[in-house]
Amino acid sequence: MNSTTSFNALPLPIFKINTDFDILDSSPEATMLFTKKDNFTELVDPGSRMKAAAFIRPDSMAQKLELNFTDQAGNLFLADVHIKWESDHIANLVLVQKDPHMERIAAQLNKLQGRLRETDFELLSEKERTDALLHEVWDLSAPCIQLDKHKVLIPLFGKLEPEKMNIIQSKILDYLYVKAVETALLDFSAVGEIDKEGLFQLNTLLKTLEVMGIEVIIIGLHPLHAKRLHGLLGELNTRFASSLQDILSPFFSGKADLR
Amino acid sequence: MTINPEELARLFIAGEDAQAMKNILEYLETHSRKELFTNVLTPTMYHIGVLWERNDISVADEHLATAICDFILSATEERNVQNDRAEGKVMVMGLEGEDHYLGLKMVASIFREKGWHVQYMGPNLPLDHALDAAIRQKPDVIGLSAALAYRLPALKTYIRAFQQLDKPPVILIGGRAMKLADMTALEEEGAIVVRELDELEQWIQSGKEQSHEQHNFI
Repeated sequence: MNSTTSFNALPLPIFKINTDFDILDSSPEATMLFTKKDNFTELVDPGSRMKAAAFIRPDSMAQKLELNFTDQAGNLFLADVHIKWESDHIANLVLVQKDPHMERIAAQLNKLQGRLRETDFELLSEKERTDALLHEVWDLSAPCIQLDKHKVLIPLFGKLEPEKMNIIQSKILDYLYVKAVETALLDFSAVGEIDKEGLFQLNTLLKTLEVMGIEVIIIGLHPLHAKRLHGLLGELNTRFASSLQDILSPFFSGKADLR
Repeated sequence: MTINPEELARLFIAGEDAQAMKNILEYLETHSRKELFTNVLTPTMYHIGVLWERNDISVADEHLATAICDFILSATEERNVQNDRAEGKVMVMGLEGEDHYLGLKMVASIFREKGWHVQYMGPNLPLDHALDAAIRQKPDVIGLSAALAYRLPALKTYIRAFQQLDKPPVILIGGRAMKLADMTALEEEGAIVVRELDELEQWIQSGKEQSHEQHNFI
């Protein structure tokens, strides 16, 4: 490459080449960037050579294309190559390096994105774990405690909400059916709030129990619950007892008859 | 449900990650992740390379597509594999100067799915770092990848260096370069050339069977 030339005053790497890619002339910037080569192809990274050959030709419409180059120090860099044919044999190529600053920022952003993504996945798997635990807790929150052959005590815990009632309900019904239970004692002592849909679900449960011919005794009802349940229970064949003690005392006095 | 790689490439370049993800999740309902890698993501990314060669897209577009593909790989990763009774330990890495890493992630993912303990070292790993890590971790297998055919001499250097270790690991070589050029020279060096993920899966499977027969895996 010689730099005698009409390109001297220009601030970019510029090459004049023929159709064989022989370098006929180049700017001082070009000479500084690359080691002295006779053929333009040698400057192009092997991975970009096919592309260069396909587009740097007189019959190609391409005026601009991206190519990778290797500089004097052996570093790979990306550049836009602007092409103009001054005749069918001679082309002028101007190299504009892509701003490495942009690349660095993009890479950094990518890294941060990666970290966020990982955190996101960790949170997601934690959420899945928590959901599973919550279901387990719900599943355990209405244990069926067998008092004798036909009587079962079912303490309910926490807030009565629809999703939880759904899980509890099918569990209770299965158990009472399989064990042919006659009397179910629903203990509300540890029940917190009962919301509207929870109440609806409770209603379904009680009605189903009635259809199954199971007598229901509700115990440990808080005055606030009583207010909420008022109206619901009137139509059902449900008994109340103020505490578990009242129910259990016949067992201990030997007169175990709850009817 | 099938996915046309050229159509997926279009979604990647347009930055439509949500739609791409939706299609892929649907695809995964009836296909394995290996099929996703082999028949969908790999041809999609190769097609994106072709688009760049055809001067239709820029490197910036390629980066966007790579980021989306990477996101999909991470998002579909099997995360519930038990690792306490690992089949073996594998270290995957790309050569110094080699920035392609999607293939590495796929390989890591397949090994993980097969119950291996995977050390993902990422692309562009200088040889001395790689050696340090191998000395510390003592992997049974090292997976090396190269996308461009002219990496052959560098691959040889890495292979020879790993073979000097006290307990030389099995060396698997993969990457696009394996398909583009004759790599028998690497096999002469004692490495195993893996051209496709299918071959990798077979290799893992046959190693497992051998170990059950002989009780001395690798």
